[in-house]
Amino acid sequence: MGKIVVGVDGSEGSRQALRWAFAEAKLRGGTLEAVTVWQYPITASLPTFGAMNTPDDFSTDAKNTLLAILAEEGITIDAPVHVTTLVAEGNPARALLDAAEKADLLVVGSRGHGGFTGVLVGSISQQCVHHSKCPVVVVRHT
Amino acid sequence: MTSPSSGSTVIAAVDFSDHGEGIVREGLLLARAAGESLHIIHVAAGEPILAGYDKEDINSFTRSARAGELTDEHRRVRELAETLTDTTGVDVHPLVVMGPASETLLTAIDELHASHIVVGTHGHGGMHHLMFGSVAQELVRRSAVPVLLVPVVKR
Repeated sequence: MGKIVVGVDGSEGSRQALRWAFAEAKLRGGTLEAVTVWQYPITASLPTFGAMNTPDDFSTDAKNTLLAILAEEGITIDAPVHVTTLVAEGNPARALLDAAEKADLLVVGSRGHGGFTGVLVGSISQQCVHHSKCPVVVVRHT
Repeated sequence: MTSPSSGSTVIAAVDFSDHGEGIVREGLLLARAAGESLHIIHVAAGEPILAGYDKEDINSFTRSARAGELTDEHRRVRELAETLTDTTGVDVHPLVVMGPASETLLTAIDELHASHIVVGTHGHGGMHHLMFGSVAQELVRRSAVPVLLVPVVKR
């Protein structure tokens, strides 16, 4: 029983990675963990007291977005693959690497939301490849 | 969406370095899961360029030494493929090709209609401090099929 970890940030590239990871987990009879990462927004001025979202708000939003993406891709709890979700805060590459610590594969899209148009391999994917202890699959954004 | 890809074979690019086993193992896992064959490809270095030497005897000496090496490399890939076909049930094909590694592998992906390519994250570039080897980096940038990168095992 293998475990495949995939990073999902809502970008089309990450959806392709998710589709690949789900199909591969199904073929291997393994489990799939979909990981999404949120970070505190950088604000130029302090919001009105009380209006600032709490960590719980950010985390819940991230979780709901992730579940919506999974549903849109046809990945539900009654899928033939055991699917878990993980919502983490902080540096995306760090969070993915931590989640994949004991995984068989870490799957990332070649490019997510970050970076400039024209960048072929995103910085998060690059960092994952650089530092991962388990094999990394980079799914090309087509 | 139902299948990871439309290809029919997985390519494992080996260079007989320390982590060649990991590359072959990951290639076998992909191939077996998808019911595909596996091509183990060894990209051999091209002929050395002997700038500044023009003596025929040096050229012929290095050529015959290189031919011997190639024969040896080819035998190792063939034996590995035969053993794996016998022990794993996956159809494993050996291939030795000469040329610049990333270009040669990109061509192989096209010609073999590969579904995936497996490479190590150090490579032929000779810059061992760059863990994300130049060949792997080039493949990730240019390959249309998913690239599985097997990390160097730190000693």
